[in-house]
Amino acid sequence: MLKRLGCIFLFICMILSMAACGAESGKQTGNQAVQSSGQNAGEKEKKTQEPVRIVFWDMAWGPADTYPKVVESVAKKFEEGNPNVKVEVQQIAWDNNYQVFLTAISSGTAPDVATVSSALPIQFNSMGALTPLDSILEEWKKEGKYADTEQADYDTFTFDGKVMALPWQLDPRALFYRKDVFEKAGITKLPEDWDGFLEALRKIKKNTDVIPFVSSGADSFSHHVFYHFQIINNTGMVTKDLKADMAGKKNIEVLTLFNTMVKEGLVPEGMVGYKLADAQKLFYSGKVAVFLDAPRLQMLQYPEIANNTAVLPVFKAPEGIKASPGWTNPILVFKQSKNAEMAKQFTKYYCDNVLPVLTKSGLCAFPVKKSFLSDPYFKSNWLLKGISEEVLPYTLPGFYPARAYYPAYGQINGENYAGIALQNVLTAGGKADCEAIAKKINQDVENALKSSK
Amino acid sequence: MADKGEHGVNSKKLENPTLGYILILPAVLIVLVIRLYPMLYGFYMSLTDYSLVRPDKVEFVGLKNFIDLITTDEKFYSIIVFSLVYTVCVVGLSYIIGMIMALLLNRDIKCRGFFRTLALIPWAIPPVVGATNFLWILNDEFGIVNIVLKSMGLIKNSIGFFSDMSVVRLTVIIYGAWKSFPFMMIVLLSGLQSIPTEIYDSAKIDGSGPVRSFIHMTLPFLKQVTFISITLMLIWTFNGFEDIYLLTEGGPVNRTMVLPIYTYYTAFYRGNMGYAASIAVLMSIILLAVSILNKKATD
Amino acid sequence: MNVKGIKNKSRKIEKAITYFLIITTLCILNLPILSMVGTSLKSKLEVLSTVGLFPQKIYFGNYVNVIKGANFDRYLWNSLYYSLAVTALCIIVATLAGYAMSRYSNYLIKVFGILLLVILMFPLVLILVPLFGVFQRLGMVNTRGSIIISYLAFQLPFCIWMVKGFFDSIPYELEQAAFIDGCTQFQALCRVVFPLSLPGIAAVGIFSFLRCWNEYMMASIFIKSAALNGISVGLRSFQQEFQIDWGSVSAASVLATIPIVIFILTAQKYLISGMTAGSVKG
Repeated sequence: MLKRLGCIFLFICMILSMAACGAESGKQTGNQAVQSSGQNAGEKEKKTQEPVRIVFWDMAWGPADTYPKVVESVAKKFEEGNPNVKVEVQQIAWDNNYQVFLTAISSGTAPDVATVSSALPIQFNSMGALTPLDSILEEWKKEGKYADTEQADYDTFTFDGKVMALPWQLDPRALFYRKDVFEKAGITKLPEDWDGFLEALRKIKKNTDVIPFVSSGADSFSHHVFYHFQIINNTGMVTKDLKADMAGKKNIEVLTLFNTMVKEGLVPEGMVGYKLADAQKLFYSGKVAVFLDAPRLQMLQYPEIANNTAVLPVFKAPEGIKASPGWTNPILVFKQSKNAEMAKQFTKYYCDNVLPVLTKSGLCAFPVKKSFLSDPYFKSNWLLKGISEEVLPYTLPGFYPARAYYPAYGQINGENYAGIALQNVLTAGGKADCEAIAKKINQDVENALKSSK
Repeated sequence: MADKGEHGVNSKKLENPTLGYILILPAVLIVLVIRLYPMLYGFYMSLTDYSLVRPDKVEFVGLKNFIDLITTDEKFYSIIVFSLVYTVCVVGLSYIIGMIMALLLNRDIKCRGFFRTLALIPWAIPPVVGATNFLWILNDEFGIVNIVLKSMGLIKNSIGFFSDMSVVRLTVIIYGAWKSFPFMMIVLLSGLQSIPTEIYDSAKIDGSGPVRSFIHMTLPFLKQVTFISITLMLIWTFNGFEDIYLLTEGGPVNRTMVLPIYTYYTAFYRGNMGYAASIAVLMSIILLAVSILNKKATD
Repeated sequence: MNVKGIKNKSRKIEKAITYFLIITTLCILNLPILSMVGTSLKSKLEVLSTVGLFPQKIYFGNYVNVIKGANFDRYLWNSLYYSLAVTALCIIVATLAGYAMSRYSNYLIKVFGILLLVILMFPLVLILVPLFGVFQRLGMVNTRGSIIISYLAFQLPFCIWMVKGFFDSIPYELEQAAFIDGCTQFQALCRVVFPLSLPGIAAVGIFSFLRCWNEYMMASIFIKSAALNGISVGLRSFQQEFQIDWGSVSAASVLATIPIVIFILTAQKYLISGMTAGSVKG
């Protein structure tokens, strides 16, 4: 009986798999179809015959139930204005996304347009995979829209004098604090520099039983924690002219700051093992006074958190600057695109009409175009209002003081050197030799810079 | 009866191999067409300076990558040592847990199928979810394990499973074993099932106890299965990227860094495919050596 | 009578100990799974704001969200499709090859056996790009076929070795007896060797099924249309850059585990003693 059942099962499966190979092999990706048709016919001829297909790979920036619809609606509107064009939006999952793009590029199946995480354009550019978008800037200049975006945001993706990607949204990092805990701890004035910040944390430690400060220490978010305090102290992994700067005095000060926090128990002992999700869990369960994260709409959904939390105004280090990291995320056109002109038009259209994606999709991100910021949405609750007013005026990119992403950034960021610097301090139990750590990481940064040449 | 394995070896002498070739043909076709070329390409890459950043300018550099790796790469040695320790510990531990579970679930008990299924579930759930829940239950502030241990008075302060530099390696090993034991269990279970019950009956008549009969009857019978399952597990664990990456990403401070993660970083973040491929080739050689050792040990 | 009673009693105690051991170990080993189930029953708020394993109030919203949401049934069906097809093909091809490797030992076949192990040893991350190239040349990118064939190619080396191991432990005398009865070699494989090694085949089948079910790396690269994606890729749609909807992911994982449980429950029935089913007995 068992034997017979097994046979039947195997047989069914075989039929199924045969059918699979037969039925599906005819289908091809939109991509490949675009390519082959591009090879066959001249561009102009084709425009009159069949619709131009633009494949748009969009990272899954927002929640699956609300975000893709809004992006698609923007694409639909573009199609309405350009009846000969068909935009195919594909959401790309974050896990593994770098390999997905790499394989696509190296095998000639890259999409026409894509939004990617901000560190990737420099990598793609080194591979020679991107199309310059300067012509879009020219058009914006003519239309008077150029100055709507900060020059620094264009610079971010300007490589060898050419703009290779355009910023479409700003993803800031911020410190959030619990007003009720601050009150309970007897903190009457919000910190204005990082000594004041330390003082506040000390009071919380002394007067309450909540954890003074927490964020990620284990996953790649940990470098955001380190970058945050680097920028406050007016320094970064490299200098303005791209020399390794981790061993510099200001970086040692940042390490010392964290060492002090560890020594005085202002961060939990386990922080080095926390991924961002663990830190979030601590914060949302009300066990934390100050928390570093990106602004997230979910903060508004927890009554206890939403009613008692505020954005901590940007403060500076004694010799630092009033600044806070914000990442501009890019949209770009691949060189492989057979319809580069149309792809550029779509890119421009997307940047110009992205507002609903920022306000209606459940994504919590901010516009790079200043005019968008006047949309009442960005003042509609404490979180958005706090970020727009207290943080956005001071944002600097995470690779500051460099002006643009640089080739070694991929390695420095990907291998999480800043996070490892932080981890070195967090695991030392308050006895960290900050200079030695700084030197060690500096060596890694130097090697990265050297090998990227 | 106990030398069943030997039978297999002796019987491998059929004169006419034509049928053998025919039987093996589908496997040869599938495996070689799909996998041989990419692998040979990988070997080739290890002898070049292939870089993702300039894929059009590839130069043949001979053994330079290997020489650099062995002579100048400081990180390589510490990583290789932990990779080996990790692999051996995970395989050993999962073999022991798998054997215990297999012996327990091989007994004639009620709801056997249900229990067996439960034991396989750690393998079945998506790795991301498994790893995150593992992180949560072992968290030092809110993890159930620390809370229970504290309330039982076994420990005073929370154990920093992922933050204490002396514990974190043990944690990833335990996680690895937790992920792998279902494989060992199911393989050993099927091995146990192929043992004829008569040999136990005769052992009972001889009056040997359960431990004796386990060592003298069961283990020799499982020799083949043990060899193969351990070899495969060695390969998977040594090459396994996901388990540690999902838990610690190789941290804190590279404490749990293993070769696959290092290869991954080199290949993608440094864009240095040639160098990464040479690490991979070296890994394959190490694995081959370990597998041969394992073969010798089981014989 | 008395002796029998003592024997009965000690047997009962033994049984009780067995059950106790099984249940406690299973509980400990399944603690993360309990945590997953607990998380799936927590409301979105509770997932991150409470620290207990189980919710204070049971909430089915995540399940509703997952089932109603985009494409979940499709992901499930695709995964089932891939896993079943690969498992079946794998068992057939591996049985044939494993038999050849176990019973015919000549130079070529031996080299193939070692080649299989060497192929297993080369890490996947490095061969993704050339592998993608192979599928592109075969015109199979973004087809079900590419997934089935690549999974098959990745499971086969392992499956062949496993099956060979089980065949090795079956005495050749049994086949010889079959030859005397007038069977051909192939018939002997089907009627004698295969049934005898059913436990091993079942183990290989379960294993191959589970590995296909959760495979993400290749699926994410070869398949670009949502209609062909399996559950492993589908789960990632709940994931943003640094934010994951843990409630929904857990609920989806629980739902995705149900077909596996059914499959294992069915397949493990074959994990019974092959020897007693065969002709060795007596």
